[in-house]
Amino acid sequence: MGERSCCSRTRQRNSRDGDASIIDQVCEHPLLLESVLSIIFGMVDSPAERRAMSEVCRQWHAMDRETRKHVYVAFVYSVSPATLTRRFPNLRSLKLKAKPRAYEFDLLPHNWGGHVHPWLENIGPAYPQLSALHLRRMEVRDQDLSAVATAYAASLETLKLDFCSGFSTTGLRAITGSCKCLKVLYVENSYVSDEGGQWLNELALHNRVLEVLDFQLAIGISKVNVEDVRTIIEKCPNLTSLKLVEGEDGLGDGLRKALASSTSLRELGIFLTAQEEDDQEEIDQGTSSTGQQTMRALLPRNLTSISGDIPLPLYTSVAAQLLKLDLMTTTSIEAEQHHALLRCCTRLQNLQVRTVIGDEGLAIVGECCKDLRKARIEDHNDEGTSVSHTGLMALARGCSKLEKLAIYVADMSNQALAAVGSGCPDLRDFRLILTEANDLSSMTELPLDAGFDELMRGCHRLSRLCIYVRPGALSDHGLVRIGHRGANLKALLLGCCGDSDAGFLAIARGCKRLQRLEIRDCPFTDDGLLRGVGCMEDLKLMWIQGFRMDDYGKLDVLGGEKYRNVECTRRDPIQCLIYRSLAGPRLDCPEEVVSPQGNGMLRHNWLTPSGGLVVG
Amino acid sequence: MVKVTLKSAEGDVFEVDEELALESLMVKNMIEDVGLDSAISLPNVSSTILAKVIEYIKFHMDAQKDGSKKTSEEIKAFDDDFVNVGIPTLFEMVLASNYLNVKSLLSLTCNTVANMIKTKPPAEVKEMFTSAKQAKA
Repeated sequence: MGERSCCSRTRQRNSRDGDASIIDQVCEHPLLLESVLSIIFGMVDSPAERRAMSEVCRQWHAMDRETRKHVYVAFVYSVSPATLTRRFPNLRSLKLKAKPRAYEFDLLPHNWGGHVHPWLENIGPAYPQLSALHLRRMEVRDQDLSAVATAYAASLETLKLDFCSGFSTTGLRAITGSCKCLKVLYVENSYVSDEGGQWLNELALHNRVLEVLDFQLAIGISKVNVEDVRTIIEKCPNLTSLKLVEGEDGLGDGLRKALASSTSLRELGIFLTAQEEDDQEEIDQGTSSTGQQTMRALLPRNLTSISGDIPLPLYTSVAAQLLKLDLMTTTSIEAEQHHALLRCCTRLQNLQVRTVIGDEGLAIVGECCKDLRKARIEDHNDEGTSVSHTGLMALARGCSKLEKLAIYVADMSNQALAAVGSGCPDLRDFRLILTEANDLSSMTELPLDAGFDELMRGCHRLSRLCIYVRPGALSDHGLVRIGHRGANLKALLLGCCGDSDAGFLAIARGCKRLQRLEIRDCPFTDDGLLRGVGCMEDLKLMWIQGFRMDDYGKLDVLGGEKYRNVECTRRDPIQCLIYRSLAGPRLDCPEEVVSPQGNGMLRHNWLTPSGGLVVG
Repeated sequence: MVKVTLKSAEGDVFEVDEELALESLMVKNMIEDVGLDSAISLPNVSSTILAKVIEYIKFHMDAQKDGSKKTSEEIKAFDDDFVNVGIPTLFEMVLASNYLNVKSLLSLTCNTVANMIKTKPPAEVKEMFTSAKQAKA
């Protein structure tokens, strides 16, 4: 049955491709004067709305082509660079994402792919005016950055390298040396080899228009000349965001003075320990009332966001004006100090914090941070701290404006999940991760089926949901409830959720708009997955880890379909990536990754009937 | 105050202040070319629509004058109400403001159309245009 539904889907798609009648009819209303139409198109930015408009008629399709300025390719293997440049010849801004999210958790082979150079070869000549390039989870080499610097020396204003790897500060130097109108340089969560601080020096010497310089979480950068940073602050009047990696030598007087006198900086990420002796002196003074003045004067006046690690009195001095607070990397403040600080953050909209704050801390957030829109409470395993349903309930009851919430909990109850449903009607993105801090037997309540049902009922705008629990915490019945209420979900992660294929099929049939699905510790069989995928018409990408196989692997059937690729990674547990693509199978799979269309059928050469790997 | 005479598609005559008429760049160009002696003929604009365009320009000119007590909320309320019309009328206003070259009205009406289109699937958008065309014919 599953295979049949898959085939009919293929036929549908084929007939639609062959039958151009929809797009051939030209709307003849005089409103569609090109000049008027271009004004109307100029008023629509959302890619989804643009796509719908481009399907109205041929003229609108052409108008979208001419006027589209920004494209986000959510998976680079879903389309070829040449197709993109043909379809949209006038882009100014491009975001590319490659590796599946599993990359962030170190689950992919190191040479998985996701290279940017095939894209640069096409977009370089095609978009001479490109002003923004955002690369996420991609392999970027120094020569790629040089190519970007050469191609867009006069136009590039924004470069974001987000979870990228393969380059060094030499590549960054090519960018900062050539692109004189660079306004945003963002190098977060990327692996960078440090070959010296010249890249920063170029900015200090030549750039006067910088607005954002973020490399706080760049892994590998350590040689930062604080004098360069000082110059950048002083010479770039529009610098609003500055996030620096933890330096070895502290900040130094010059930089601290520049920070203190900056009026443009709104977001600051710094590591300032109390070790610098003169710092200590001033910080000690912070306890007296005149000392508060001194303290206040150490940070930019208009600060609204802070991250990194600074001594408590500094945090406290700006707490009342903060909209965003990231305490993920603090080492200098204890749990009680977190509590005192959070009490002062009454305007906070975005909070990132470790479970060190405990349930008591979450209750304080619920009580004091009434404007909170985004919150992330993360567990760092080595700390021995945790939060639970008690804290979640207090948070949900207090923060009714929450739109995005990610929380790592040691224990959970249905009542707390229901409280999220009733307390946070605007929630769009919810992530619950059950840590392994407690035995399942000591959990307050299992399963959490009823709680998720209530949550889905209340949060009807929810479009992203991540549930990573442990076996038994969410049963098939819970998946049925999520499927029933999940018509608006676009992205879903299920970790250790459900018991059988029936649960998965309920999700597949209910969540009609699901585009991205990730399944970790998958209890479903390949047969169930195959049938489910056939139901999900909007599904663009699915990543599965550790599914069961009742018979010979069947997922290669999907790979036989037009526009759908299947790749399996020889790992234990096995990984499988299924995605829609106009570009055909990719050619840069590492040996560990096999695909039925590319380098061989799945079932015959390396999978055993039990789903284990053939060794040797 | 100098008056300008505008003549609609149906031949109806509208006498307006020159200051108001100049808000239409198209009329402004005509006046510069042919002067004020004869009526300016606007064969692409019906009387109903021309009256609406004049009403719109007049309201905004008054609102911008010194001493006007109109708040931005009141202005927005007027605009919202002004474009709260059937699709055929709205489309005619888009065409008229494009033809007369009244930038603010063109922007308001196009934005209204864009917001309508955004929320509809392609087939419904097509239907919307087809029925508007039939209504006009």
